[in-house]
Amino acid sequence: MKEYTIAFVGNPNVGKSAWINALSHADFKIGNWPGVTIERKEATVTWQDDSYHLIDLPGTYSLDDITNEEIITSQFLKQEKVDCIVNVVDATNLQRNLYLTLLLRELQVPMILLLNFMDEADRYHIHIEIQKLSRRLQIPVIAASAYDASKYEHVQQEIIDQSGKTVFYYPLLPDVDYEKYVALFHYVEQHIPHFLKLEDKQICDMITKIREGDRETALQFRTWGIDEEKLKQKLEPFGEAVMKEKRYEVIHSLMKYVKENEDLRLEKTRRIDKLLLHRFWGLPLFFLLFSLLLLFVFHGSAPLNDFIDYTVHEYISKYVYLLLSWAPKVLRELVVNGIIAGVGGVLVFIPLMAFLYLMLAILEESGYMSRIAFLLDRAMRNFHLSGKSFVSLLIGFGCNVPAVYATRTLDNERQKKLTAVLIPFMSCGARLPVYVLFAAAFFKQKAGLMIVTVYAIGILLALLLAMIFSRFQTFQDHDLFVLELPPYRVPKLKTVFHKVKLEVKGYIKKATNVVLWAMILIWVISYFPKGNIESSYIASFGRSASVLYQPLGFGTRWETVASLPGSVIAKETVVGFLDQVLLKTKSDVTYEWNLWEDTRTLAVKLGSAVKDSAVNMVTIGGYEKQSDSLVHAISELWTDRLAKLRAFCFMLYVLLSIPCVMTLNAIYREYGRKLLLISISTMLIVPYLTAFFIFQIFSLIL
Amino acid sequence: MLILVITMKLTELKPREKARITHLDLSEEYQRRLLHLGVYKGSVIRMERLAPLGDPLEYFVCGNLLILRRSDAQNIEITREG
Repeated sequence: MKEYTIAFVGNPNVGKSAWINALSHADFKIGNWPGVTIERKEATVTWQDDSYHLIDLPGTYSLDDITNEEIITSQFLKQEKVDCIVNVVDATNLQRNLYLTLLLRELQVPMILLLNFMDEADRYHIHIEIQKLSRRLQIPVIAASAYDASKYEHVQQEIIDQSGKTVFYYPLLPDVDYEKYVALFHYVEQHIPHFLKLEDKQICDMITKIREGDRETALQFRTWGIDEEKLKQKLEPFGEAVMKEKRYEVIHSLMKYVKENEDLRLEKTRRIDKLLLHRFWGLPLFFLLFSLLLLFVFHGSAPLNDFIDYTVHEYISKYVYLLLSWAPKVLRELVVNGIIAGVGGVLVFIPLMAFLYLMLAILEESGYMSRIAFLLDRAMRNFHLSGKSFVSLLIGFGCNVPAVYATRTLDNERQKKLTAVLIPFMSCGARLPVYVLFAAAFFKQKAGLMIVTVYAIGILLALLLAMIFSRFQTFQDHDLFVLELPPYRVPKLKTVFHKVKLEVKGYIKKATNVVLWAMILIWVISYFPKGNIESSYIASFGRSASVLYQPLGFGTRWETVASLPGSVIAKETVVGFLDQVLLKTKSDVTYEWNLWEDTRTLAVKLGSAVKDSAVNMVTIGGYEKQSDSLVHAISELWTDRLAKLRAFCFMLYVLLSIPCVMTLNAIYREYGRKLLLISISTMLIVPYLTAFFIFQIFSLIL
Repeated sequence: MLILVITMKLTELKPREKARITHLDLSEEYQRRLLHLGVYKGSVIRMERLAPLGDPLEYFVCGNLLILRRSDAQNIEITREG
């Protein structure tokens, strides 16, 4: 029994994995390539008593050792003993794919050219003269599609036939250069002693080595009496820089075997783009489409989020509380209000995340995502951002957490970091209840206008900071902007749901540890020493820290200051805190066993949540009503001349201060500690300064 | 016979006009990336459209639709083709 290593190589998204899947009918063994988080996938099959390891190498355009994908692929091919290369190419896009094919050919390893997506090629009337192509390249060419099982056996047989063969591929060059190469070859051959009996392949290898500047070969040539000057002259047409262009000349000549009407493939795409990328309608259509999608996400997920919230707080908490009736009060409170509430806080986001990732996956798969970047690149570049950062920032208005994860789709590291730091300035949905409450208490009719003003200040500060930050090295951007607009495709449900599943799983894994601890900590400081919030550490902190906030206007009331640390859990806790402190609501509820009844209520709630979710996606829901007594209590926080200004500064401070722990966690997970610290310090300094200046300046004017 | 070759900048191309690239005055790294997408000395390029805000620009090269910024496209020289 022999072991063979078969490498599947090709450009990104040409169907390498699909082919390995098809040939092995098996799941991949998945791991990461050393040093980078690019998946290493491998499947092992037994064919005719021999075992074949099918390796899925990362998609790449060349073997230049510059990007991670290139390094992994080229090192694997050069260092491991590869018995056969299966070069998978997109038959509908042959011209670009063939560049890699020529590079692979130079490795002198047995090769198969697998033309994938032939079904699509047929549909676009692309005709490829397979035999002529195969003869010219000296490698077997198979036209197939990974979804069409009738060709699997043929491919398998070809792999078996090729594996372990010794091959020699003549260099492919434009006609003129080929003659020069033959002359070079003969010149070298003449000087090689006959008794060595070198084969053509070995001589070609030597020529390749000398071209790459190999010292040993140069020494060898000298001992054989090859004139250095003459050799240099003969080698001149084959320098690496020139070779790149020559490869393209060769590809051009290979394209003679392909008859296609280039426009046919893009016909549908062009027609859609005519509308979606229209000079006048392009942007309005984008804003319309995007707001509809956001509405769909936030309204569609809200009832499900509420359901989970209800389940955790009203159902699970209640019964855990009852089950722990034997335990001391502190332990019960810790479990219910600390741990369960903490886990619940994470779980509540799941439907929102799933909806958001669904939307992103659809945008990405359909091909519209890169078009957004095209439409908005110019506008965002004023602020050293790119078109794609716009998408992340916009998502931030719904929720900062997925917005930070969405920065992954950006093109380069610096843009990603800059965008991630700016996202918390986009006022998320959780901050809205705070504004609504304060605006209703102090601004009455002008409430809406004031809320919009707060949003606008957030955006302005973000853009201003973008310009400041981009002066620093961490965010400096020497970017090589080139973007591909893929043809529109109807997203495949399977791919979309697979993506959503992976992302949601990842989110749960990432969110459960740090966040949980942070939430328990906040519970501890708002419970101890006496077991109620008014005399807790957090309240006494608020009392003493309020001096610091006097210049910002709202520091005259310690309650507002004390509500801030808790807002790190989630911004809406500000409302809950004020509710508890100002209205002195008792949190001691007596629970009763009523399992059957409660479970039924839960089931009914689930039903209506699913229904509401479906209905909400198409209609637009309203905000929840605030309790009137709380609005009244808040309106009495400040009654002096500057009361309104104080309230406004508080709203502003809530918007700009440190984002919630989930967002911080997302920033930390994606970009590490340095960026986390940058974000935290920004969100400490900026809100203080902003509120300070606004209060000081306006208190003079008003 | 006199052959008149007029070189112009890629940005001067109007929608639906075709041209051949004659020179790229761009960084090594950027040229390499463009090469893999089919943009190199000698390739044929067709202008597709401008973005609504006048920048970036969309081109058709090597069977694909590519987006380049005006500032980069300015450094690519072309000769017009029929």
